[in-house]
Amino acid sequence: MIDPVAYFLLSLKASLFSTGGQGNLPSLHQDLVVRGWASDQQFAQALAIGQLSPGPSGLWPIALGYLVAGVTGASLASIALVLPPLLVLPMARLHRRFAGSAAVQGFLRGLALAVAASVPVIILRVVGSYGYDLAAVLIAVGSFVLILSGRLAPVAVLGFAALVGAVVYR
Amino acid sequence: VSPTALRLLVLWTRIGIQSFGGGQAVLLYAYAAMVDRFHWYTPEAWSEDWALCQLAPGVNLIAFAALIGSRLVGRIGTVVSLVGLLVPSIAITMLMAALYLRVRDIRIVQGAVHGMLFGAVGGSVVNAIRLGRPLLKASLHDGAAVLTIAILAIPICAILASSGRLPIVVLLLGVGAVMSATVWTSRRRRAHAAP
Repeated sequence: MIDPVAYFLLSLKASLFSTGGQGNLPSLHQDLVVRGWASDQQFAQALAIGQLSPGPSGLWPIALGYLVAGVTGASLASIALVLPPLLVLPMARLHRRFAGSAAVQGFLRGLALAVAASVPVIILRVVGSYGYDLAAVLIAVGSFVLILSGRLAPVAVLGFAALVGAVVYR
Repeated sequence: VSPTALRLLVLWTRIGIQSFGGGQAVLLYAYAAMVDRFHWYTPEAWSEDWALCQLAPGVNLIAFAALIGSRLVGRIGTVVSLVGLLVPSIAITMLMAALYLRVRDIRIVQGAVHGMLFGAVGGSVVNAIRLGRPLLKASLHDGAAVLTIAILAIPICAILASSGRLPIVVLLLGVGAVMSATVWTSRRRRAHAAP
């Protein structure tokens, strides 16, 4: 059974100490998989749903909450997602004082760097639960090139990947 | 046209419903409305506030909507901006998850999800590069020592994150602390060396 209070606090912690829409993935993955509250496959499916949903990127924990604990889980995840970004309001007031500080700049840079390095590793792990084969590698490399080139919107590339997947893995 | 709570609520709701395709779509719609159409923001102030939101914890766009609302209308502006942006998109995300649970056993759905996930792997690597490159550029600016530590941090983080031995939050805060000390020391030394 999932403890709702712990689920909320773990979600809050993951967002509070990270940045960006998927920065909370490594921490949340570590905490929930250890407790047996979510599987790699559920993480992967939630990320897929999050890619398709409207609004800001990074709503995937709401889909995860729904997959593991229904409306309760999704609601807890939503609140845990909205609270940490609100810190921007006091930050905006203090901005002039800390903007030039080398220590603060260095800290935020290091945090973002650690997020950039660890998120793809965890995504490879959870998506890897589906098993790698030649088609999977081709889809991943093809999408990488197409999205990097910037010629197609990422959502269009993902739609194309879904289409290829529907044909190959049917 | 002056910004009011009601206008903000309507505007963000429209953005929240229309913007399939993630954060980029939201940003484009919001810019078109707030900067181009209503002139509530100058392009410079917009970029400055967006840069600040990248430093906030969690989803940057939630921070941005909260900040824009607060700047334009005050506290109630924050509330209506978040409600407008998030209530429809959270509801749709929950509906999509519910729908997925009903169709997940269909072969073609499984195939599509399977394909899309590996597409998302490619996308996540692009995101990591886009997030990491300016950080390395800024480190280059701070000198060879800072750049070396920043570059070393990448494989170390990747290995530690995948080993799962270290709590991730400790890893993230630890790298933050190391970079904080490195940048601080390097800038201090430079300030002394070039009086």
